[in-house]
Formats: sequence, structure tokens, C-alpha cells
Amino acid sequence: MNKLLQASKTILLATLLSASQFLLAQDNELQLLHVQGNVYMLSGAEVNVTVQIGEEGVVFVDTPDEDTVPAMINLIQELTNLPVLYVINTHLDEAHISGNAMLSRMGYRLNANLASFGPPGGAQATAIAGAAAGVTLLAHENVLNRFYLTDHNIERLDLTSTYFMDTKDFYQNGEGIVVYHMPNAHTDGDSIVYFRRSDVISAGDIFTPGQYPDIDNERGGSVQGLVEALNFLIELIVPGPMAEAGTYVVPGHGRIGDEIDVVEYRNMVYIVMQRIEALIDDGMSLRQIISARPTLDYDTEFGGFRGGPSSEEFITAIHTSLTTEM
Amino acid sequence: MKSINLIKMLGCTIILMSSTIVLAQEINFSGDWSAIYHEDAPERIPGPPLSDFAGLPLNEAAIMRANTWDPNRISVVPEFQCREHGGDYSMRGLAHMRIERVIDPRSQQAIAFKTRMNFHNMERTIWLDGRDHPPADAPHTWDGFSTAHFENGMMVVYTTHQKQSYTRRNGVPASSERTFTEYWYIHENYLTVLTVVDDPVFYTEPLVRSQNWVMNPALRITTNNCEYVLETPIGDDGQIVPHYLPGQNPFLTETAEIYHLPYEGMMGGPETMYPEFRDQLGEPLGDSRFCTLDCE
Repeated sequence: MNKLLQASKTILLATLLSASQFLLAQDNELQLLHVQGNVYMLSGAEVNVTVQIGEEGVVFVDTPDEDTVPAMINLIQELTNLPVLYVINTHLDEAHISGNAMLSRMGYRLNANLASFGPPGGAQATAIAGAAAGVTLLAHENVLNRFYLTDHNIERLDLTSTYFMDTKDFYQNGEGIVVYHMPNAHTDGDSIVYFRRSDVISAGDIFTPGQYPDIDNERGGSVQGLVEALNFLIELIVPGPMAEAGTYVVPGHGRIGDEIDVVEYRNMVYIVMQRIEALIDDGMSLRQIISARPTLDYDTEFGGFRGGPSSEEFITAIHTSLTTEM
Repeated sequence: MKSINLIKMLGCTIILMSSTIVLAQEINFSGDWSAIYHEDAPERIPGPPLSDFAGLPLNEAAIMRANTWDPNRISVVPEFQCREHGGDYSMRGLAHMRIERVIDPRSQQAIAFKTRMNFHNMERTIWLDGRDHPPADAPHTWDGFSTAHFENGMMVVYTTHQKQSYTRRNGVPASSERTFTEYWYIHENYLTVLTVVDDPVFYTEPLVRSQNWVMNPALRITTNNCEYVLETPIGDDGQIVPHYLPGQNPFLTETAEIYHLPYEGMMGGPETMYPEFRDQLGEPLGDSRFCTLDCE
């Protein structure tokens, strides 16, 4: 019996070694992935960038750091040389806005010489640069408010336009583009961007598969608002047959998803929130709650991956949300 | 002990050498295949009982996830109602299968197999043309992305890019990071597929299972429509995702009690996969003569 068992183990080991030839190449390089319709996702940078390309020009949702912009433009130039029209920022995080200045000076031609624009100057909003080049740089008004009225270490914010209602919409490259404000989710200035004909939603840091959400309590974020935003996202999405494909979602970080991916992510946030709420009701302190490990079953999937929050940071943000009057 | 190690080394060497020396010989799996459920039938067809995780190499995260799972979730959360099985599980569920060979018209070479299952129109494409797997950030699907080659009289299939799904239909999770390797081979009019699933999120070691089919030219694969229906109003109790708080699932010992089995054995973990675990189990909880469910 023992020999039989050992022989089985040996065969299993051998088959596993044989299968290892299939191991996937690590692909951290910059790639422009076609999502569907007019919409692409730049993958491999610190953040995902959504790129809509059409007959009129190029629309970006979020921008990578300035060192990455030239390589990103090279990839886009394989598809178009039309000008940059719009940059929409989903929220105020340096990693999501730091390429604004460089892109704002590329409104006339995408293939313009980047070096000729010189280094970005000034430590304040440079609305004129984008406007002069015909580029609209848009975010929710709370992004601008947080930039001027709260503490942060972000050097500059390049915006030409803000919106303060629940939505803002416009028509570009043959499709309606709707920007929805998601109050008090990751921050209080979050936007999601819906490309209606392409049927793609750019969700920013409201949806970050493979890592815990970064709930920024200091900038108005909360777990309750995040669950509401995820529920809204699920309402907006129409799945394809057998709960697959249909509307696609570009996350702020991580892989492209569809409805069921957002549902699983919402379930995780909701369940952990309810566990922590119950522990608070039991009279536990934050330290005791962290020791109780309420995220144990999610840590191997979400905890601290891709530079995202650790389980302790996630628990602390939820605890703060649940114990602070909004 | 030394002789066993020698046998292990020899076995590894022979198999690895033969995998590189033997010429790839293509096998045609086309046809209609009826699934045979003699392996793990209660789990695969009626469905597994609650809180039976035995024989699975689960880590503590997977066990906690399964222990806090509420079966109401698959109906209360409407988005779950129409989902397919994962590609790995699809080989075990309602697995009657039609296999078609895709031929490149110019070269007349087989470039893929397409499979279709009875349940939820599940279709897989297994590429034979040497193409790469998609980038890591590409969308995942229920069936994942499969490529294959022929080796030692078998088709060896490797699959990535599956969606999060289940290892067992009683809340045992399977992550979107899992991959699986299959070994397909035909003997007489039977097809056997050995599946090795590796899930770095939820398993401590690979899960190895096998499934069998018999050639059945009379088999007819049907179509299956699914439209989700909101059956339970959401929000009356604020519970939009049914789940149990840790330690509060009242059904965890139910199966152990029905079958008079030690509870620890039902909770899974790698040790429960091996025969030696019987020695640790101790005495049954009760008299198995009074078994009342699936006793045969």
C-alpha cells in the first residue's frame, strides 16, 4: 500500500514538473489591452489608464506618471495620431493624475515632440496649458476642493473643468460618455466613467480586484459609500449570457472585470464590513478586532498585493468609517 | 527507504525523458461523450452536503470562507443565478460533452478542440496552435484560456484566466488565480481526464481528480437558457449578501452527525486527502447502523 502511495506521489510530481513548461511569462511591461469597442486599457503602469480612441481624438481616464507617458503615447500611436481631447480624473491620488500636465500639452497633435514642451512648471493648477491646447481636464469639484483645502503632498493639479452635480455627460468619438459622481467611496471626489456605445466603465479605485480597497477616510472615503458605489456599478452593468462579459469594467488597479467580478468584490467588502460591525457591537477595540482576524479568509486573495492596503489598514479604514459620524 | 527514493528518482527521470523524446502524436477526441459518474457521484450529481470539505487540500482561508458561506447567496444575489461552472469544475458537473475538432482550412491541421457541455451552454476552446496565453490583466472567463500539446499518447491541457468559482458546490471557494493541467487519454471507447488544479489562494497543495466518459453516438447536447429572477426582496434586513458571521453557522456539524463521522475530518485540509488520516480520526461519533441519508 505504501509503495503504491509513493509511486502515485512520484507520478504526480513528475507530471507537475512536466506541466511547469507552461508557466506564464511575467508580463509587467506596458501593454495596451483592447477592452471592447473604442476602449483600451493601459496595463503595466502603477495605475490602469483607460483610453478611448475614435475619429475625433483620444480621451483618457486617469494618467500615469510622466516617465510612463512617452511609452504610453508610443503604444497609442500604433492606433492613431489624432490629438488628446479629454482627460478625466477619477479621484485625487498622485498616481492617477501625475501625467495630466504632460498630456495637457498634447492637444494639437499626439505625435508632437514631447521634449519641445519643456518641463512642467509651477506648483499650482495650470488650467491655461490644457485649455490653450484644446484639452479638457475634468474631475469632480471635490478633487479641486481637496487639493486646495486639505493636507496632501501632491505637487500640482492640472484641471480645466470640474462638475458638482451627480453626473456630467458629453459626446465624443461617436458615443455618449457619462461621468457619475460616487460620493464618499474611496474618497469624496470619486468618478466612474461610462462609455455607452463601447459598453465599458472605467471605475477608478472603487474597484481594485486582487487588492483590498484603499478607503481614504481623511479625504471623505467610507466603507458605506464604497458599498453603495459598488452596488451602483452593479446596477449599471448589464452582463452577457450566463453572467459573463457584457459590460466590461476597467479597474483602477488589477485586471479587467465584468459584472460577476464586481459582485464578488462587493461581497468581500460587505461581508468584512458586517463582521467588523458585529465586533464593534460586542464592545471590541480596534486592536482587539485586528487580533480577531476578520479578514482571514480574504487575506490570501487581497491582503497587501500590488501595493494595495494590508489587512490591518483595511480593517482600520472600515473601523474608522463605522465609528465616525459622517 | 533508500530503495523507495531510488524508485522515485527513476520514475521522475523516465517520465521526464520520455516526455521530450516521444514524438507528439495527435489524438482526435471528436465525438459525443456521456459522462460516467461512478467517481464522487454524491458530490457531483445531487450535490455535496453542507459542511463536507473532506479530501480537499484547503488552507485556513478556504476553510473559513466555506464555514461562513450561506447557500441562500446563490439565489438572493441574482447575479449568481445564471453563472456557469468554472472550467475545471465543468469537467465534473453535468458533464455530457460534445467535442469538435477545429481544422485550419489552409493547412488541414487541427488548431483547436471545442467542447460543449449540457449545463448552461458551457463551451471551452482548447488551442493546439501554440498561441500564448493572454496577459495577466486580460478578462477572466468561466472556462478560462486553454492551450494543449500531445505527449506520451495524451493531450496535456493547461488552463489559466478562470473566474472565481467553487471547488465544491457547498461554499468551498476556487480563486481566479488558480490554474489547472489536464491529461486526456482514450482507452477503447472510454475517455479519461486527469485534472491537477493548483490554487495558490486557497490550496496548500494541488488537487488531483479524475473523470471518465464513454463514447455515445446517440448523445444529443441541448441548449439552455437562463434568465435571472429577483426572488427575494433585498434590503428588508439589510442583508444583501447572505453569509454567517464566523462561528455562527449552525449547520457545520450537520453532515458529521448524519453520517456519524468525526467533525474534524469533515473540515478538509491536505491531511484529509491521504489514507493515513484514518488513523487520526478515532472512533465514529455514533452507530452507523442508524444512518438515514445516502447510506448505500
